[in-house]
Amino acid sequence: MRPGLAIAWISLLAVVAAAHPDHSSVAEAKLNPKTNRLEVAMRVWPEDLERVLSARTQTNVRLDMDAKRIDPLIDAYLTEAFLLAPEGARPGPDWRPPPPGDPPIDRIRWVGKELRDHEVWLYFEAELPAGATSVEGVWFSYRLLWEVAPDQENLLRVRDRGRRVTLRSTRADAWIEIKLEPTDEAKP
Amino acid sequence: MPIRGLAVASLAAALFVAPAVPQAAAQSTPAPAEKFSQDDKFRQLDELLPTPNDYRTASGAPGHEYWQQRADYDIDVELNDETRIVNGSQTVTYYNQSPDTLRYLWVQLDRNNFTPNSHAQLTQTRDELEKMSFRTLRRHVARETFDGGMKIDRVETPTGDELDHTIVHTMMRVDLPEPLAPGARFAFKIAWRFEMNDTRVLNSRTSSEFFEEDGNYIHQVAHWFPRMAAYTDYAGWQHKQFLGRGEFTLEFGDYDVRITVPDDHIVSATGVLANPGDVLTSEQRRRLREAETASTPMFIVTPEEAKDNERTQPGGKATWRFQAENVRDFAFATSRKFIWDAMGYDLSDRGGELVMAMSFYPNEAEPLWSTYSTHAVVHTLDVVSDFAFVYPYPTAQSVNGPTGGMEYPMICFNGPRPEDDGTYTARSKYGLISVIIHEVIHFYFPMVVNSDERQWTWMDEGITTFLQYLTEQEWEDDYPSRRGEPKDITVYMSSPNQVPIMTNSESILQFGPNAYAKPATALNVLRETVLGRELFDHALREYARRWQFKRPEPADKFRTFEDASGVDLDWFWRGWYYTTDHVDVSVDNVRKFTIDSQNPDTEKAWRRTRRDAEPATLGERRNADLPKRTHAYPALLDFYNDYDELDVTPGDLREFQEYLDGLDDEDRALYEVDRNFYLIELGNRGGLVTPVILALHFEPGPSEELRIPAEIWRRDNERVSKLYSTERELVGVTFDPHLETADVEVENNHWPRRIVESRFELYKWKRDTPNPMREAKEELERDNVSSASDTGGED
Repeated sequence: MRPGLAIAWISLLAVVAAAHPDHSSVAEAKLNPKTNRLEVAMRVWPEDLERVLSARTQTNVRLDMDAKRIDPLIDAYLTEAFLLAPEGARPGPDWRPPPPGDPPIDRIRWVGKELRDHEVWLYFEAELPAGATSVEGVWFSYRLLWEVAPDQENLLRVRDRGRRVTLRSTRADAWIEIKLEPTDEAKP
Repeated sequence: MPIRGLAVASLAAALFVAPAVPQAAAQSTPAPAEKFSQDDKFRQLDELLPTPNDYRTASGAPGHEYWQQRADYDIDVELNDETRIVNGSQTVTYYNQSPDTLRYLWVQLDRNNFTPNSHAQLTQTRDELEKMSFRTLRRHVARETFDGGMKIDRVETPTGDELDHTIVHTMMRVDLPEPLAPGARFAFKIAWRFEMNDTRVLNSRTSSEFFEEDGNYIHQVAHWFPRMAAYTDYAGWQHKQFLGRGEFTLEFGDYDVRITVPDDHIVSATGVLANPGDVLTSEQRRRLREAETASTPMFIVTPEEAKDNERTQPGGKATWRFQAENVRDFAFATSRKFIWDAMGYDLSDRGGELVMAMSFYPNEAEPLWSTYSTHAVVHTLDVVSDFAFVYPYPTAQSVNGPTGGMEYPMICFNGPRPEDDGTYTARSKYGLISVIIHEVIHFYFPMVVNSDERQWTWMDEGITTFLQYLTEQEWEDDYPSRRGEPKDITVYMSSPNQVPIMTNSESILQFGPNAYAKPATALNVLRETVLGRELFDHALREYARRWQFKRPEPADKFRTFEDASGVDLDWFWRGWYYTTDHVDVSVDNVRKFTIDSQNPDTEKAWRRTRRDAEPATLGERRNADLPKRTHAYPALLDFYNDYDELDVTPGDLREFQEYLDGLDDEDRALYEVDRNFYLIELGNRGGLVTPVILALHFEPGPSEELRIPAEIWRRDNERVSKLYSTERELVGVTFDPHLETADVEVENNHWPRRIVESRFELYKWKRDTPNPMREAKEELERDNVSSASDTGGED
């Protein structure tokens, strides 16, 4: 794989490649308090995911290829694209999770995918930052497909023991502090 | 008649219990309701919509003084296949049909979006350092130097007198030598040129795609000539610069366009080819005639002929002449790589004419395109001519090239292709069919129902995406549509950083969901849940009929749907189009009431049962065995130790008989009905008011469905209670059982509360569930292997 260049975006890359782009993904996530992991179901347009995986591997990747080959690529990509940072100050743009300890922690646990004619659903578990027992206050970044679509907008509906919130992650707003909405019962 | 358990005195009172709210504020002022903590979500839209006038009526129809401008174009254009330089000269005849005198005309130069210092380029923002691939970097640098802007060589009268003109970014003001009076017309000429953008530098709605293998281009040429800016009754001159997203606001007119290209090219363009004898072979013309009555698409240029063309060198130039009447734009595509198929679609039995449905594509698009493209075009004309109006133009064309999907009058550009080896996935197939359906629907909206795209992306994209869903669903069973179902938009609807649908095209956040999916879903909800199919379809048809070849504004659409359906929909437009509220209704509680018969035998027995069912407190239980003084001194017991207030007394019976005797026959009949009354308490968590669709589950079944109009929320849009009476026992209530309202939170839709498994949990369950078919298959394979080894293996 050829390395990318770290460079500041100083101007427009190009106008939209197609006249009718839909650069969006949606995901539903629920915290499993027993495992302390977010259980995520993420819907992505298959052509977008193929494009980014092809770019990363410099090969022609198709999602209907052998899962033993494709799934690890998605798993590795999600490890970079789906980030959770501990409560506290807003992480900087170069923040990355600490390296796996001993025993190593697999931050993203791949579960599987469903490929349909027009969409692909990715299923995985994401480890909460060390010490966190709730998503409340955790910083979240969801960098899916930003490499290939600068205007990509990723939505995550997250639930934690009856409370929930929807988050929107874009290049312009890369890190979001998770603030759960009050429960139904707590609302007036 | 009292209701047991209610403090109120009568059933009638209970039925109409509602929170005490003040009258809504006067409609003429938007004053906040300071003594009531809720917005009035049913407030009429009077403060938001423009005042009706002679041009646009309060019913949403064009008024009796409606007018719009007109511009006819006579254009000569030549495209150099090697340099990609496009040279043109045109005569525009502008008809001032407005009541105003004009001293200047504004012309749009949308190509200027492709200059290095365009406003689109300069105003683009980025926020973070990012990784960039070499390919992306190369394109980025090239983009900063590539100038694809429109060079204006001359602006002059037909007799050659120069006209003063001023270029303002993507627009140009042409000063008139004399003021142009209402009803007058003015002709002028413009000579211009520009360089087509190569997809390797800049891929856009209009691009040239180079094929390394054979050294040929496909050129898709759009917003390529100076077009008249719109002058309207609601905005005067359209003066929003082209920044890339807000598309086009254009005038209707007739076109006569002569396109000069290498003589081995095939050209597809808006309108009808006027000189086939000059540019087509006699065999191609014969095939075209045959295709007019063909039942399946026929090749005009076969794949083999296109392949041969790829290897030829042009012998010179050829000029293709196209004519189009009453269109708002003109686009074309040209290449020597094009295969061409066609099929006539006769709409004469529906009041239309013969339409030539045609597709143009390279061999790289095969076999997908010859199988599906023209069929998708015809299918769309068939379906949408019912939903809107009969297709009014003589051709409908689909062209493969670098553009993902883009529409112009009678011609659209569509991108999907199969793999290099000719195989294709189901996704490629449905992606192609869907994009063609979408773009062909644009031949109606906005190419005929000429909404203002520069202002409102949603006006054509919403209705097109909605009709795309309907058209797809008529293609085959279970067609995998991406947009349309309300359940597919719930995450977006609950997301932060949203803007309302009523947002200018350039300021939209979450563009696809906001301008395509949400307005399409809104129309779906309006059709299926609010109005019903018959009323909705009538209203949609009326909107399309009223505004074909005219320019509707949002208010015209809102008003027409109400006018044609007979239903006040202001709450719907307000909620879905002017706010970012979402639907989230919670079934908070269900309370049961039964009729108090006043019969002391039954009522006191019922109360005794209730009393006896009360659990003893811990103290009562421990005190029960204590020795009591009355045990030792029974004489202390008297009347009250045996008295039970729930014993039936002769007085009770006498009083009950008097009650019965006082009932007239009608009340007596009602009294004898044995019914349960349930008060279903609903909370509106998301803010968007919605019809209330309830599934009522009984023991024993079956379930019933209760469909209540959204007006249930008209006095209190946060909490309402619905009284429901039945002879059966209600055991559960579900809001939105068919997922038709776009409710974002299904967990609170159930009473009693139900654990709703997440998609993740369902997937794991499904994945981990044994697959009986697979197991049977594996068993069979084991048996086969076993029997094969028994017989010594294969021959």
